[in-house]
Amino acid sequence: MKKGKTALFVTILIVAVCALLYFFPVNSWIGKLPLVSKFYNNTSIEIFTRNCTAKVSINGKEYGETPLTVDDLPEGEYTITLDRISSDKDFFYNRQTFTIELPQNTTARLDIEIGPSDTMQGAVLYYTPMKISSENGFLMVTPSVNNANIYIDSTFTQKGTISNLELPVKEYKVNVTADGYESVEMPVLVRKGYLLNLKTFHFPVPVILDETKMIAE
Amino acid sequence: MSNLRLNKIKSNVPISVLVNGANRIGSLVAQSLVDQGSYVIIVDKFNSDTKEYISDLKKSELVDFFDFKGYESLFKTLKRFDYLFYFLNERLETVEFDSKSFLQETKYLEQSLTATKKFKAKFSLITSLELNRELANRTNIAELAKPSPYSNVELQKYCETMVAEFCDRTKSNIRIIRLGTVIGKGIKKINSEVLDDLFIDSSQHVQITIKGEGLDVHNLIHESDAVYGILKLTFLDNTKGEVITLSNKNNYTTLSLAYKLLELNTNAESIRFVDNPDDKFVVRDIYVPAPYATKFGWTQQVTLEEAMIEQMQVYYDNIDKSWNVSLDTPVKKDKPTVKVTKTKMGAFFSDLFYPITHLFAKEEDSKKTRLGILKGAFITVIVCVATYFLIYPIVGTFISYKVIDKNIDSLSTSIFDNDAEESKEKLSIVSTNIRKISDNVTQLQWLFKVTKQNKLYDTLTELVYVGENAVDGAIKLVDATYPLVSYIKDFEPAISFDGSGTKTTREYREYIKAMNENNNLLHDAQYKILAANSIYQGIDVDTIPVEKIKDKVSSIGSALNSLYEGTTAYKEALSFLPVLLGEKDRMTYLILLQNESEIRSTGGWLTSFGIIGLEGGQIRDLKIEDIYDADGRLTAQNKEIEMPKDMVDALDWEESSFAIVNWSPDLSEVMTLAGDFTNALGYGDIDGVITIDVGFLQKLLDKWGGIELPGETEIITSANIYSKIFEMHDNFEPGSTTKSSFLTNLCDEVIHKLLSMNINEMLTLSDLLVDSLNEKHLQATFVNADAYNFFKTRNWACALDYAIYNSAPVSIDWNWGGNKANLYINKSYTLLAEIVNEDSLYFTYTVDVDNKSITNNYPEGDYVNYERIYLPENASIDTVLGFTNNSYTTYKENGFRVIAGWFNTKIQKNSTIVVKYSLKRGELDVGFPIYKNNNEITLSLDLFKQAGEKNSAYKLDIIYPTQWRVLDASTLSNLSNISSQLTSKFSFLGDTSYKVVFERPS
Repeated sequence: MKKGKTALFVTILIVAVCALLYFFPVNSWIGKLPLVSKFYNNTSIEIFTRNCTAKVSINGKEYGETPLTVDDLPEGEYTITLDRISSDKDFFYNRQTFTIELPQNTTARLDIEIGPSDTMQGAVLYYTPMKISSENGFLMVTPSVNNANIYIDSTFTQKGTISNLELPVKEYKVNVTADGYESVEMPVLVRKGYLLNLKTFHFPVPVILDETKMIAE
Repeated sequence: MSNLRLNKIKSNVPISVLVNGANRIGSLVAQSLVDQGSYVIIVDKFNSDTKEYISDLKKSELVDFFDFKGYESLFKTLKRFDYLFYFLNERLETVEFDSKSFLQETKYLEQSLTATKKFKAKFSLITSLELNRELANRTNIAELAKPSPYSNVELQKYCETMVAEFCDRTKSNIRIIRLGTVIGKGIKKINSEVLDDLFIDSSQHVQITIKGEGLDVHNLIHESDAVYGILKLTFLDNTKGEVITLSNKNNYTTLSLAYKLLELNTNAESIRFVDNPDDKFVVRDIYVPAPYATKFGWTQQVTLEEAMIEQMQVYYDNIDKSWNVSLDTPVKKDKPTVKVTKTKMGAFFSDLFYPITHLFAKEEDSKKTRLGILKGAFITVIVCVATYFLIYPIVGTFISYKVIDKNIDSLSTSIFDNDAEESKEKLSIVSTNIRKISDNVTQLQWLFKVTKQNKLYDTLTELVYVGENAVDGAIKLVDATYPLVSYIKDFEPAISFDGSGTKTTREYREYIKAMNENNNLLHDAQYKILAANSIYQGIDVDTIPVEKIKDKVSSIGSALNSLYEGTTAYKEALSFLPVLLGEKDRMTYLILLQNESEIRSTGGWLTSFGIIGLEGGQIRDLKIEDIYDADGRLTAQNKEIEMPKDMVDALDWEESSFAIVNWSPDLSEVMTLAGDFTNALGYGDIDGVITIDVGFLQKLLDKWGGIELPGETEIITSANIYSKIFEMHDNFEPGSTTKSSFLTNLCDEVIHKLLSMNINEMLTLSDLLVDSLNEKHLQATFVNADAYNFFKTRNWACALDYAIYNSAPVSIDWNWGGNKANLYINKSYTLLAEIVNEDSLYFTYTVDVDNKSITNNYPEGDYVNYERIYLPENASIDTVLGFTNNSYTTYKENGFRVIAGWFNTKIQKNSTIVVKYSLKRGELDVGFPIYKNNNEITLSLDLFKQAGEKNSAYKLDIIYPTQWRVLDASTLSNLSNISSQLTSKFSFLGDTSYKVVFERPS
């Protein structure tokens, strides 16, 4: 009888713990606890805008102007919007929106120059966890233009996009070039257990009419 | 009365009323009730006798006192009470009453009973067992049968009778408790003269004097047992209506009690018997008491000896004399006077949570209990750890999998219904559960390591990653497509099928604007799906041990591909869709109806055209016109359009005619020329051209089951459409302006019906539309570059691009005779592509035409055809054979080298054209169909099929150097590879591409 009661107690305890874990996963609340969040989250978003200043909003909340670093946000997906501050009325700069993921112990980086007519130059870089048992890390490169050439440490690697490329853990230099567009070069750190997402944006190469020469035959 | 604290008593606190309660037993009962949380009202006469019993109770906030004065008003003030204890036994200490007191007491009792019934309370009348025994013995002894009319015996008898009758009458919850003689440390004087004398003698005299023989019987009870008994019997429901004896079950005679006292080492040392002149004792006691309280679960807690010792001590204390109780007297144990019991469910849970409750047990718990606590804590910790690291991850994964499975199944339905909110909700549930699975699999990593299943762990992790990204992508896709879906759901066409006028003026600019704004979401969706798809490609499905799951995982691949392709296509479409729908300006599109029974460059002879105006997502203008009417108007207005020079030269036809606007095989070229005509006709510039042909109309008619036409006696179906067209052609000559009224009417009806459909209805035609586009029954080109590229990359734009068709020849027929014959022509193409080396190719191209016409009567007859063969511009032509009279011309056009000339085939005859040419890689390496990458050689062959062409077969042979090896077998799905030669035979239904990868020796 006593054993039966113990078994019943253990069963109820298991069911209770399972229900607790199912409906209140540890990850969902632990990162929001005061004090604990700093140590638990250990996240950082760095936002730079080249040749300009931009107002930054993250998930609709204003955080100030670039350059900006926001630390210790709970892990999750964030929508970052940049509004370029400009007094030049000849150009109209559209609001640019980026979606990034921010897992624990990672840094996301936006290094962007906002141009007129939705053009951008630069890169957005963030990690997503890849919990496989490999000692290597992974890299995904998606240029904003089609048929771009992607070089890793000066070696041509792929045309178009790189998806899920497994690489030894270390720092690499990624260079993305495309005909008619400016290239983007970026040092990146491939980490074990993470997929590094690198999205590059490219300004069209301006056509300089002054250099065109008419040659009469 | 005003002192009562009734107002402060919460509704859940029980209220007890103790009538005649200011005495020893009453005070103990009151204290017990207060200890259990009850509010107690004690009703009595308060004087010096009762003071000592209530002094302690006064300190409690849960006890109030009430005098008998105004007793009736007490029950008016009380809104409720739960228990009423009527201690009549205390009133019975007085032997004789006057009539007033007697009646007063009965009146109190009556009021109490009435109030009990009113409040549905429980009532206990406590009377004297001894008096009841006396009453019983009176019936047997004549001497005793002369009671005083107002004696205590009579009062008890009267009251018991009254209560019993009341109970029978009202069925109230009432019982009568006959209490034995109470002894104990709180009883200063025993309420029995005989026993009182006995204890006095024992404590004060050397002899105990017994009057008579000492055989009279006593029933004793300890005060604690009395209190416990009164409460228990009152609380129990099964005592309702019962008369119960509450005392020790044993009958003790005076003599036996005297001996007991002697044993207790009291002052008395012997017993002395004396005569009793007032002897009224019975010789033989025949009293039968009511059922004892033990029947109802009451048990005696204090033994007679213990009770007598306590009582003896009181008598010694009364005279301030010390008493050494006998050494062999048993030591009294402190037994609880109130037993706390649990309900069955309470007992079950108490047992169940024993380990937890004992964790918080007080320090004085026994060592055994502490061990139990430790054991419980240990089990709890072990169970929690095992649950966290093993049980929950497995159970949670299973639950999440089931939730996902259920939602995915119902998701397909909701997406089909275009219910975005429902889709999103389900996808969110799926996403949440995939994340749970992700956490669970990570939690179980140790198990995979221990069992050396790292590969399975990796596969599962990758699958979870694929799932996470795919679902996140799908959620974003649902958000991104929401405006389009809403547009599709809400769209109501302005035009009506029956042409009765404008149905609505509503525009859909807000949806179109939102489509543009959601571009970022679409980009994210595509990114996520791409990530999912790329990781899926690397998954080793064979590591999954469960076949059912393996099958499911295998099926994900095609779904992911479709999702990615769909997202990419939608993203592409979004770049032009708002413009095409007239977001800012009105867009005008030209629809050309082609009759492929007379083949022309873009598919057939033009018979009718339509103009559609689109603005704000709504159809604002629709006109269908016979193309010869338009030509007639232009002639009448003397408006001339310059026709292409090569056409004028080839056909010797100089008049401008809208009907032959499709001379160019490139629809964009046609659009440019057609724009001149629409401008001349007053329709303005056009933003796109859509061609439809009879084959497309036949497919629609099959879908709709036919259509009624004004002036036609029968329903037009795909079966009879050609017979109607042939009637129209009976008297037709090339260049004549005979109205093609049938086709114009048909085109008008079909387009009206199409454009009056809501988009959901139109979506049911999606397969038909895609098939028609692939088979070139339906073609479209647009001024908007994004839209043009979208259709061009899918071979839907009838675009003859020299950058694509840079190897194989393109053959274009222009049927130019009264007899159309196209429907009776069988064509076969052969192309031999010989790869000399990676920089040189040699082609032999043959077009064979077999005219199956039997007569020269329409629609059969000689096939009069102006043939153009488009070769790459840098092609070096070796041989051209087979043109009529071997007469042909060559010229360059739009990046092509064209060989053109008449290529006629008479009825029942066969004609063949042979063209041989070579291609060499130029210095700039641009436009050459062979791509080199180290030792890899890739040959691209793109075959263009002319729209409107029927029954043609194609044979392709590729001869490659013997040293080479075909690398990519996936491109060989319809190519057989024998001795350095690849061969394919197929029906030429649409544009076809071949990409073959070779490896050459280094």
